[in-house]
Amino acid sequence: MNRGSSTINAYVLAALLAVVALVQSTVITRIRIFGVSPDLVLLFIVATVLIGGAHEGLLVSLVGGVTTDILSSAPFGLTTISLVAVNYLVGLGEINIFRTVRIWPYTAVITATLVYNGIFMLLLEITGRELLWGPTLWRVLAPSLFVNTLCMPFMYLLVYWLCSHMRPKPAEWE
Amino acid sequence: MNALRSRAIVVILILALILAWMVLDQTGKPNPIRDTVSYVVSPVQYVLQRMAQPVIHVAGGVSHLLSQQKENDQLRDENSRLRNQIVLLQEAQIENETLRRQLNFKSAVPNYRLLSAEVIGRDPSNLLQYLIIDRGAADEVEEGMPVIIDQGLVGRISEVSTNSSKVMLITDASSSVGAIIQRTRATGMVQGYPGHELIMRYIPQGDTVAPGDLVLTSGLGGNFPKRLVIGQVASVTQKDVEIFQEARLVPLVNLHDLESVMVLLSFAPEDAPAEGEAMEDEVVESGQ
Repeated sequence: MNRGSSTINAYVLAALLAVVALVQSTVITRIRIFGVSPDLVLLFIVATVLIGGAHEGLLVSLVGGVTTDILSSAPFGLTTISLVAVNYLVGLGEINIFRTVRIWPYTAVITATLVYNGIFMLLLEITGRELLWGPTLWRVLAPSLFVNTLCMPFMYLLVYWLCSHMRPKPAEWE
Repeated sequence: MNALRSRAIVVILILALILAWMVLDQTGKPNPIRDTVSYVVSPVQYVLQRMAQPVIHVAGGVSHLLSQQKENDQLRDENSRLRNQIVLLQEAQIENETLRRQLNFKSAVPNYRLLSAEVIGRDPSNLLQYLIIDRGAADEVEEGMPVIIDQGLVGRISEVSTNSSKVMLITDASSSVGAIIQRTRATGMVQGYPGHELIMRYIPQGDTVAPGDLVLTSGLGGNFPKRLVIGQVASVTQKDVEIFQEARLVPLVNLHDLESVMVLLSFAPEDAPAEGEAMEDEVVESGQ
């Protein structure tokens, strides 16, 4: 996969992520594994960053965050801030030493889930929402780690396939 | 010459036989010629029939199969059409039952002005428990209005747009509802608990609470009307060093699969300074 993907790819991915966010809100929330639903928006962004880099992932994170914020009951901007932070964190994987490690996608999604939910909970607390940290970490965050890790390979393959099909054709010399 | 003569004799004999057969048939008496011919021909017919049966069956089967294939296709199409019809009818039946329950509920509480709404989405985050419904300011929905179904309390309106609203479920950690145990009249406050559960806090130590007790809204704080069903006690936590005891509740409403709800338009919630704070003060004061 060409790491220097064109901007067109990022726009298409961002539009797709908006659709993913809608699907997350209407369909995916009805699916529960250990009491939680897979976070497709987060997984999509992690996969995009792993494949295309933090630069391409930024636009995708912004669009995904804004769409999710519109659908969410949290104060506007919380999801966007959390997802952009995840984007740059996972983008650290552009350093070769991490990219050569096979389990990096799994490590990335575990780290991303922890960071995303951690920042989100902190911002909720700051904006006045009441949170029960202990039970939330045990009953929501822990199952989310498992479920997101389980779904990551599928999302990674999907995004990889999308990016490979949207790759611009090489110029031909006559 | 001899051949010609022989042939002529045979023809004459056959014609005579036919003439005799016809004359004998007309007399109505037993026909020995017929009997003799039958006696000779019947066994041959029998053998031929037995030999031809398998062939006839196979040919008939193929023909039957071809006609059955066509009939099969027609039946398959009709089956598919009927199956779709069954699904539609089942959906209509479910909707009918839901609406009938809502109508019965409305009839039981005629002083409630209820607005039916469809659930069109949920909060994408696992940390928040909210619904999105298809009714908004255009339908007189206002922030703070309780949302219920016939089985009990669902939550309250937290955000209103022109054509949609967000409903904070009672299982959200920010939700607080003044509650009362139906059996013992013990009061407390029900809060959402991570994992789609409820916890009732600030129950005085002297009051009796047992698993299976029904928990209703108390009306304290003015955020919800009285006597709406919240849930059922699953377990009780008592510590002698604590002033209050706690109970874990199970919501009686299946909040995961809600498809339609009702907004209580005729109830105006009283303003509270912050979510649950005024309730906590009242409960603490009543406990002392």
